[in-house]
Amino acid sequence: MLFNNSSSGKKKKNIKDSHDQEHATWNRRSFIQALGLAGAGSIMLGGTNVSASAPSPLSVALSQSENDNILVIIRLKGGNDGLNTVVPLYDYDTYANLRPTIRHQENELLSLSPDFAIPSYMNALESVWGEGNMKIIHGVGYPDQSLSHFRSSDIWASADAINDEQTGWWGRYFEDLYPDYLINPPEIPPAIQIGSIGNLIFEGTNSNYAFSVADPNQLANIAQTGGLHDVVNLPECVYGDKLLFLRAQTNTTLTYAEVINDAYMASSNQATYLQDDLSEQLAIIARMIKGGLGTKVYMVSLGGFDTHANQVNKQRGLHENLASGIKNFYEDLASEGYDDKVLGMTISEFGRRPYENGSNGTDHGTASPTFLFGAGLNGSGFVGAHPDINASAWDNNNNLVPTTDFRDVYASVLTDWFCIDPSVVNTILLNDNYQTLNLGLNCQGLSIPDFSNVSHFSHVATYRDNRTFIEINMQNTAHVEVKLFNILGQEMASLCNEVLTPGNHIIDVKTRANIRLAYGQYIYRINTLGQFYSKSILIK
Amino acid sequence: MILADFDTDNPNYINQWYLQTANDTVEGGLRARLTLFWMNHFVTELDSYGSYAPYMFQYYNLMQTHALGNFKEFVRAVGINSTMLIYLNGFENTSNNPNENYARELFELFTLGENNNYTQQDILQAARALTGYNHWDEPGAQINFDQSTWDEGPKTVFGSEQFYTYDELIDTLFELRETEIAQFICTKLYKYFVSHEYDAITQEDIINPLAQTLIDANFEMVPMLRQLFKSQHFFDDRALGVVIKSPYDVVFNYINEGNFFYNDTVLEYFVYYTGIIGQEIYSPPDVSGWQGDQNWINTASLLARWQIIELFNGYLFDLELQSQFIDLARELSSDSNDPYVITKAVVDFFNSKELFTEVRLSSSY
Repeated sequence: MLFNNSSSGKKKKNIKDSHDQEHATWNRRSFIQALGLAGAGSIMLGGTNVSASAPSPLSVALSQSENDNILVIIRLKGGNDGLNTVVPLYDYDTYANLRPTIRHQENELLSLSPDFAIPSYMNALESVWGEGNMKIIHGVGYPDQSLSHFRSSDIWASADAINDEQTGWWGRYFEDLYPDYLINPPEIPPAIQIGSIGNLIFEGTNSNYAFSVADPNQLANIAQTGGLHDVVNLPECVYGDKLLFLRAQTNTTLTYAEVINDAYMASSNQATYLQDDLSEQLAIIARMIKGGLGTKVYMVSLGGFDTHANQVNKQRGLHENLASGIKNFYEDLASEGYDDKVLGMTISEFGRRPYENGSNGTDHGTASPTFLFGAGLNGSGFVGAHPDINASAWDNNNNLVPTTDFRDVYASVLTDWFCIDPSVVNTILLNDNYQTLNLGLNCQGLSIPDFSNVSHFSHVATYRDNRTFIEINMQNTAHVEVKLFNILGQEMASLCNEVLTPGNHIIDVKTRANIRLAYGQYIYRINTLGQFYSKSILIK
Repeated sequence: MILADFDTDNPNYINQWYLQTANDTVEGGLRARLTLFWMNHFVTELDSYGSYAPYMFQYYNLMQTHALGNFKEFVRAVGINSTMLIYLNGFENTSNNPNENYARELFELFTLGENNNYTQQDILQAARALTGYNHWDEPGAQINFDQSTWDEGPKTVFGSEQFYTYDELIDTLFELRETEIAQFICTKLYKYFVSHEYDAITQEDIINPLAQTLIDANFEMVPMLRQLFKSQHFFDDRALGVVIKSPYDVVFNYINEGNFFYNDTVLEYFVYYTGIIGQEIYSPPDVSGWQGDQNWINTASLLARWQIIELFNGYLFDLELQSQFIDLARELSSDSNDPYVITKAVVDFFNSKELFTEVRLSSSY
């Protein structure tokens, strides 16, 4: 797109298919991503008579299954060393031999069971464990672990360890929940991340569903002073896309600022948090939750776990922050009875090498424990088997072999915490079947959803030979109406208005439109079974 | 000469280097821009080396020295720089106890790119070749090589078995992987100077020829950079104004473009505020550096950008320098009295392209 003569609508003859594909992909992504965020008001599609959409069977199922449950993801960035977090007492001598310098001495440990202990300096968690609000899943990882921080972080976010998947597990869930997000975004942000470092987790093909917050106090002014910016009349080029992105970010802020600030101001912290970064992030979230914001997923992060050297002191500081932060967070939530509504879950891109490296540290490894917190766990305990730490059991890179796939953990949380039907969970986790673990979670939806008639309707724009297609996959026979809008929201053409049978249907957009369409971005909108699905599309 | 107290001196020097870096950014032109680029490529973090001012300076000096130099020699120098040896644990990487941290990032982030034609075994073996830089006369002095902690055994890297001194490893890396390295670096430079978005045509017609020029010049960077900056492509309208500015670019370009007054107070504030909105210079978030462009922007940082410029404007008013704004507006609008003309002239001046807000003035909302 960048250097291709886009405005004239003509194409150079030597342009290759691969170029077209890439062009279409990034352009669509950047455009729609922004548009999705921008669309929170009726302003964007001002020319269209947009009505609220009736829910699809799937989204009904999803929203019926919705309960008040909340997930807080705590990202331990850099690769938390698992063996010095949960020490395998049952094989202490092997552990000690692997780590003559950096091991925890036996008298520096707090036993959670005869077999496992955490460092004494994490004693803030003692009461959390004692009250039955903490579970530890052993040996979490995935096959053929990438030892790159960046690749492995992406894998944990996308749940795809093989392909370079560009959407995150939560992004895909929200895409199912809000199929018409472009035109009708929810009134509250689906996800919130604190701090400025983005992550793939909330990325969908259409939109990023997370709202970033640094300081909720700052939002007060914005809610009062902001006016929404024009995101419609922008040129079709990279510059236009960037301008659109910036304005959409502004509009998103303006749109959600008030609701977030209101929730934040409606509550106060009822625990004495320490001053560290993680505690500050958790304190903000506690206020949003107690203030009744209604957002389902939050993410905080704590960096510094890449302990190649001088691990003992570095990890101690981080673990102390984690332990005290969690204890205070749940104390705060419990003050208004939210402690059983909030599940805390740690993630880290990998664990570390079983043996120390001579720099008083550890190199990149594989499996490490995942911590879960909250009264919803119905009791403390360990889940799964600890990886065998003996050298004979290591993989080719001298690392531990994971005993639990992290996607089993995700599947369990989606199924047993958010009450999402297993078939939908499979879709979110890219159609691989993952087991659910017994985490003690009791799924209690607001109602028992009937998934028997749920079909996973799918639609996608495809580009071949300079032509644009919409492919629709029908599960059942149904009437389908597809309309094409320009970015001003004016209806340009009806592309389909007929009964379609189960199977795949391909709509050639230009042929069906039967009018001359200028090169550029459009939006198509499908109406079937009382539900709307909208997506942006590029006409060539 | 009186020896001053380290605890007093060290923070003072750190502030001096912050200021110097800011000053260079305003005044230093291309070299300064490239220096910031390299500081975000060969990343170190101030905290990791104990906020020790001499290492901060040595690192900055190295980045400046090689900013327009030979990339291969740059890589060679970075790996034995004391700051980097501390940051990625080369200092602890000995023949008895190899530490693979630097070897991994040398391949993944500094030369080849993630998973681009190397293996975990290559990393382990290369780590052994990088041993020996574990010695200093006293803590905080320059880190030196000593044979006693160098792994003298044979190592196999990229399928080639040698004894591999440090220099031999770097030579082999550039010999056996020159195309991967050149394309990786040229792509990153392209994204920094032109656009984060590029297509297969651009890769083939623009970036790969730059990489070939870099290889042909034995990794001297000036011919490659000249080729980029003098190309028609670089001045193509569609290549202008498509990279979202870093916080540093926002504030220091504003000073430059408006030709506004600034002093050390302004620079210190800008260093502080840019840190708050995500670019704490000398302290990137991790070893991969800031990802740039759209990643600078989120719902929190965008608003803070506006506030910083407002604060600066307010400061100029406090100094009773508002004439600077008036003079600029007069100059840009040919001394017009029409608020529309003046506003448009100023907006157009500070933006690389128009903002396409004309329609909004006449629209219904």
